[in-house]
Amino acid sequence: MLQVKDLTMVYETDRGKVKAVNGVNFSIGHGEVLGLVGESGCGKSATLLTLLGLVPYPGKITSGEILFNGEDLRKKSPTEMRNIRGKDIAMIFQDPMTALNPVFKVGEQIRETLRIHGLMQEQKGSWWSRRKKQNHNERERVMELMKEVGIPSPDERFFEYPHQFSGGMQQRVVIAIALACSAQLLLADEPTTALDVTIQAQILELLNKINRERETAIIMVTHNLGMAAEFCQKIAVMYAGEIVEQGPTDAVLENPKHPYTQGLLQSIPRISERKQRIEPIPGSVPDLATLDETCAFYPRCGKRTKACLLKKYNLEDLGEGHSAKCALYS
Amino acid sequence: METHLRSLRLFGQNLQAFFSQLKKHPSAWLGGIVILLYVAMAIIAPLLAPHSPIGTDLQLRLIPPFWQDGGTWSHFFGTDVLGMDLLSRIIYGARISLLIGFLAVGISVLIGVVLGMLAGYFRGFFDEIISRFAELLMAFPFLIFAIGIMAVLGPGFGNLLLALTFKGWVEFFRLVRGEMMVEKTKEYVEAATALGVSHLRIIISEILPNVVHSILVLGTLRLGYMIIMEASLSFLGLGIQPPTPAWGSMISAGRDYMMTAWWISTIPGIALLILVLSINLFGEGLRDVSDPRLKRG
Amino acid sequence: MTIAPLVELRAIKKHYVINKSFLEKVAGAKKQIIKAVDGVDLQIFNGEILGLVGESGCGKSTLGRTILQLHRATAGEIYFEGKCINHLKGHDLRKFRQDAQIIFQNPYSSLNPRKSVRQILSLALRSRGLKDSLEQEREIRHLLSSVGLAERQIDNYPHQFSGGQRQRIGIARALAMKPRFIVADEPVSALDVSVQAQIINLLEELQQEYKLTYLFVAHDLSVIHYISDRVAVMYLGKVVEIAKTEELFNNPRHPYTQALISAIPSVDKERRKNRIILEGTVPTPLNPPSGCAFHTRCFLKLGQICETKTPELIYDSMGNGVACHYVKA
Repeated sequence: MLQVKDLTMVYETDRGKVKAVNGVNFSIGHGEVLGLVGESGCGKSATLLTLLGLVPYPGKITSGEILFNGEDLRKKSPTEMRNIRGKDIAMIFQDPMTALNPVFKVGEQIRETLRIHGLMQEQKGSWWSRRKKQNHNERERVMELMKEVGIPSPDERFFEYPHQFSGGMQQRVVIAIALACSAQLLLADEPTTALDVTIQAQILELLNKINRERETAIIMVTHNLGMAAEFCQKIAVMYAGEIVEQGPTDAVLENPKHPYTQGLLQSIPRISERKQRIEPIPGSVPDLATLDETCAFYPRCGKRTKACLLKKYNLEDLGEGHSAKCALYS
Repeated sequence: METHLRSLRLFGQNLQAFFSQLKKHPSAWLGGIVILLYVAMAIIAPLLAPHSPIGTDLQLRLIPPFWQDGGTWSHFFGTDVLGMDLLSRIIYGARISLLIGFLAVGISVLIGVVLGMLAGYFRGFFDEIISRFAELLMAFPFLIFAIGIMAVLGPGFGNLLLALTFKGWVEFFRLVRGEMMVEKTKEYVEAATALGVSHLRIIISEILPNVVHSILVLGTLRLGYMIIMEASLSFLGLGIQPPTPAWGSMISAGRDYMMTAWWISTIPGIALLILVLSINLFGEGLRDVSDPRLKRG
Repeated sequence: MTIAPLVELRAIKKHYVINKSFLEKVAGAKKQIIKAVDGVDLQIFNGEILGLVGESGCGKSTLGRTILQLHRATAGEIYFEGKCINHLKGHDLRKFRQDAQIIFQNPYSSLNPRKSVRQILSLALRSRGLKDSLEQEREIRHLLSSVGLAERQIDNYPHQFSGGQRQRIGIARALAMKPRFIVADEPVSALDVSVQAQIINLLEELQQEYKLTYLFVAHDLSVIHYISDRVAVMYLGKVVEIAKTEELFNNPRHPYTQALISAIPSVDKERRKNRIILEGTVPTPLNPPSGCAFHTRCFLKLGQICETKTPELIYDSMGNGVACHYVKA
């Protein structure tokens, strides 16, 4: 359904060009859940925004294709993109409060989406009765949506403002807006990071239900490997703007190939019978402005060799859809 | 000793970085230079002024500036009704304007910052009292308020300062109190508390350096305002009294002669305009540079 | 238990009064009280790491700060080495501050942006009474190397460091006081996964090297599981369960603990068990539910008793405690 080919997005800053998204390739089919995993600044959120044509300033897409149902989104006009955003592809943000307008009632904000995308049937009759019917139908639909995302007593909460909702409830509203137009693809940028553990579980459960019942494809950006493991069928691990490893979740997490993925997995504490010592990755995430074409993980890598510095390596297929970008496998 | 030297050097580096950023604002740079020129002019006024600023000579009254018919080079900007040399009066007038401006802002900063820091840090009853009082003062327009004070106390240098600072500190108080309340919630303050550092030390050596920039910016912007206020009061005859040279009273003195001798009012007015404009340009530049939102990592 | 605890809390309460503005007072608004910590009994033993876990607003950070006397407790007593420290002042308080330090969550706001590393650390050393500048210099360099920072960075400012490095500076500042007890308030939750592991390991190494006792406050259960010897779970200002780490994770008794543990997303397949998904959200501490505060979300609710009677934290012979009517029944 969505296929991203060789997507590169560059920030032009006064310190030179910074490749925030660097030659990213991935695809996602109907009803699939893909996890983009990585640390802050690895380009996972920038990738999502770029998909939607919302390239953050001062960024620019320099190459690549974004094929959505066979059409290249890069060739769409701004008006066409506006139609696609929200209608076919919807987005959920880390902080729901920034996605909701604090001065409008929650119900109105969901209704707005229905109106903009013309999702309600036109009514017949005089202007007045048409409006009344339309209004009534819209409200019914909004309540349905609110019920579907698990907001209790929607007939009261319709008229409340975002700040009267808790974080988890706000996130449900954002999800309801995304559902309003039955988007085929949901982009979720750290949807549960700002929430408490028990609320996190509720939202994940909700997203899971949407994915199951509506067959909505979801791309979820997260830094939490455990969450990606439980929620996603496929995982792409990003580092410094590039996808360094991708494949089916189990393959990537149980048999990680790229030294970075291995390092990440060793650095998270796991709850198991035996206490395993965690092994941090030395150093910290590199400054993207200073990178050259060779492997960005080289300075932190425990398995580096001279071969790493020779050339730029590509994602190498390791069978069963599992691939990694590392000199070890070329 | 060595550590002092090092911290001095670090401070120097900071200042250098600050000025190199300021260079990116040509208007601020220009403003800064003009301000320095005015200050220099005020300091060496006796050397610059061709005549005595208060020396009257009725024979030489109403001489136009040199470029007009009847003007002479010895009275560059001409003379006023009493035959006093305008250029000399303007040069000396800068002394009054700058002195009042800097003193008024300085005293306001002192009162406002001290009260603001204490109120913002300790809150409670003290804060309640000062804040209510500040709000009360805010309800009066500055000029009317100052006119009222001057009318009661009578003109004079000291009274002028009192009139300007009586309300002038409120702005600084509100700024510092607000910033204090923000900074106080930050964890570095808590860390200092956990180290057993006294409240006074926390306020002065931990928090103050973080608000000094905002104070500087507001202070610069208020400097221009204070100078205008002084000129306004002097214009109304409530500030500095003639024959002491002050721009405001000079403008006022030329009012009746606008048709016949425009220069008496206009030239001091231009001097005032250029100074205040420069101060504001400099202040704006300062604000842009110290605004963290415009700064990169 | 015959060993005397290093820190002991007896019925600690910390209530905040929301101040009404002048006009609201005139209009007759009533005072509102937030019960951030509402009756906590806790013992922290020498050399252990006690994990304190709970959701936002449960009072775990407040509790840590109250122990350190950054906030004064509203009621109850805090004992440090058997001495009551509630009302310490002046010299005695400064002495206590040498023994008990804090590490903060936010590596950005916890360091004064206008102070160099040298200034930040020397402030701590001076508070300890080390005034000689040569000795300070030596000590600062020693501290930097023990938290894994390069000595040449001594005159750098906080913004020149990454998040992980800043956290190391914060740790060095706490260590500069030569404390015996450290409250680590979410020390790794603002950091990236790979850096998080560096800091956790550093904290562990330092604990062994300097024989430290930690109160480790966090919301991430995997981190808590990794580092703690014992874990206390808080909900709405109260400790609902406390137990040895393995015991708590393998056999959680309080329904809230059970839900928390089942909600941890796990990389390992075999750990993914049935999720207990709690209804609703944490009630506000402004107006907590009566009886057991958890009864509004509890899936094991017994009925009347849960709504009217507050369950007490009852310890078994192993020193593991739980506050629940259902478990007791």
